[in-house]
Amino acid sequence: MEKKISGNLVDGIFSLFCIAIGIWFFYESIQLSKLSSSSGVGAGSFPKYISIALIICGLFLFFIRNRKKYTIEFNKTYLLIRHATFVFIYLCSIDIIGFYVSSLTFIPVLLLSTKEKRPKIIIGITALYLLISYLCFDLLLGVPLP
Amino acid sequence: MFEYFILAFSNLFQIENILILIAGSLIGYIVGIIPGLTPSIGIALLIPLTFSLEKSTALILISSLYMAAEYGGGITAILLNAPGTPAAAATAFDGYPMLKKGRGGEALALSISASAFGAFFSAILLILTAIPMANFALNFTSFEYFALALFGLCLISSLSEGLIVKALIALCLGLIAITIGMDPIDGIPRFAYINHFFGGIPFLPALIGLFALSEVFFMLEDDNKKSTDEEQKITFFGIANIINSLSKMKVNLVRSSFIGYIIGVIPGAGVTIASIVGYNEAKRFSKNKELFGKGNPEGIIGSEAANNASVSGSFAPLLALGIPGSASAAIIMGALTMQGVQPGPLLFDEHPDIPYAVFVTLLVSAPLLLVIGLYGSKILLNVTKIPKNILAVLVTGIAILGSYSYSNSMYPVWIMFIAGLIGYIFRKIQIPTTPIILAMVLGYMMEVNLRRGLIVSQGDFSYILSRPIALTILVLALITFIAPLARSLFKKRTVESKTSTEVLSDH
Repeated sequence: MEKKISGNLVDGIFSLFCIAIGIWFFYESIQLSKLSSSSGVGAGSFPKYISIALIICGLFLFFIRNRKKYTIEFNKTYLLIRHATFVFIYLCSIDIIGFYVSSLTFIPVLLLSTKEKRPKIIIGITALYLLISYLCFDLLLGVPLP
Repeated sequence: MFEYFILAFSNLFQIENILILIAGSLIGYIVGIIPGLTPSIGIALLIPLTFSLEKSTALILISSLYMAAEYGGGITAILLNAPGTPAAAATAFDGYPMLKKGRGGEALALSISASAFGAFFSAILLILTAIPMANFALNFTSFEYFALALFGLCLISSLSEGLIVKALIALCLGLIAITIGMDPIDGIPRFAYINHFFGGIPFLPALIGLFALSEVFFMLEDDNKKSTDEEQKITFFGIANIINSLSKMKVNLVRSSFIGYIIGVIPGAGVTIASIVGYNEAKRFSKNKELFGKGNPEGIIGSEAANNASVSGSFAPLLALGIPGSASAAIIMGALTMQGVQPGPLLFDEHPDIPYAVFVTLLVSAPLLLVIGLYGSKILLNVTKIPKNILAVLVTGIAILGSYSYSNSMYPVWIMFIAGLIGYIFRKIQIPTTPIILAMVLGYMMEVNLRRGLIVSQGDFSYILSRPIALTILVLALITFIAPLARSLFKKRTVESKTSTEVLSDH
């Protein structure tokens, strides 16, 4: 299912977001300048000037956004949100139940969510992934997986 | 000099050392392929093994691994849009689009061959110019490094498509991201709202997220189940085709190798900068600039020749002055010190076998890596046969593993995940992600050196005008930024005046 949204509208929202980020970091940079002991170019100077540049660019984008009209297309939004959600849960579970158990659970879930239905493929890919993780990272490189 | 070469070659071609060379090359190749593992990680992991080896044997192992790791980084950049090393990011700009057009075999073959040429060419330059180049690098102070970083950032105007203001926004966001963490000069925390932020935003996991994970979302969105857009079979690009292609791009090849070597010599400049500058210069001198970013082999040549050439370059200040040219070279220096060898001006007199062992290793490893790479790519090309949905899950898994191995914690993995979401959204709303990468690579170098320079000059920025090297680089930076904008503005006006002329003539 395809969804279309005006690119110019999104540019407007994004430019306001950038201006907000710029103002926030500018304010925080000023607080840093008070803390810094360096005279001249202190800890807050560089982020301050970058924030100003970001605000200026954000304003510029806001005012020129309608020059060239374009649309943004989103295809299979539900699939993307589902995949991102499962990856998020997978990452949360790694710390709780360990890498191998969470991978054993969530690699098949991720494959099923991408409409892979063949059991042999699901089992094979999961086994391959766990094997590569163990051989390359745990055994060969000595990276202890959680 | 000649007799030291003979001795070094005869030492290298002993059975034990040949096997060590092959082992180092294979391990480095695998380390380079896996996103999240950098050459410095690979070298650090092998250091304990070198304690029991002879000095020259240890150096053969480490040098071959270092060269091979930069070599392997381009493989996953092309196949999965997941650069194996930061320096391979520029290879992904054109390598992955070439794969999607069904030219993956060509992209891989050219990447491997350009890397081999860059490595071999720069090894010769290293042998001939190690000491004078290292002495030249000593002229680089904080202002020169600042100018070099600024030059790198000015590349956004030629590397980015679309609105320049969007590229500048991406650049600013990247520069703000690198200020998160401990201030390098004053030592106070900046924007460290959570404990993890004290260590800053790790660059490599962010790179994996921006490139690889965002591509996963595009793979899932795509209705085409096949990994490439073209129906044609992905075939291996034969030797004759490689030679033919490289001969047409020989100027690009040699120029990129020179650029890579010179930037590699400058301590701290890094392989990534060399690769991006090599890519940019390939685009600047190309007759087909508009094809860059869409699958132009010249981009791959520019990036890969430069990044492998810079590996040899980083050995010049290490061996001649005892100053490491890169993070990996710093670890190598540590390994040499543990072996009782002090790199520096006296190395060539007191331990001549060490630098010449490096020279012959770099010379011999280039053709060896070419063979390993070309045969390996025949196997790796099968990745293109994997259906997109399965590939999406595998890339997600590799991205998670690679990010975890960065610092053995989940924090980089979360950074990778967030960067992946940001990368997807940015690409959707036509915000280029290249400036973010440039900012994260060069922003730290720019800020730190500017502040150090101003401390030395007591706040007087005009001091930079008295530094001819810095001034030259700044002028080049200005030209690099303005020229592409002026060119596109001129092109736009020419098209507009042509269109209005045609409309008038129709009436």
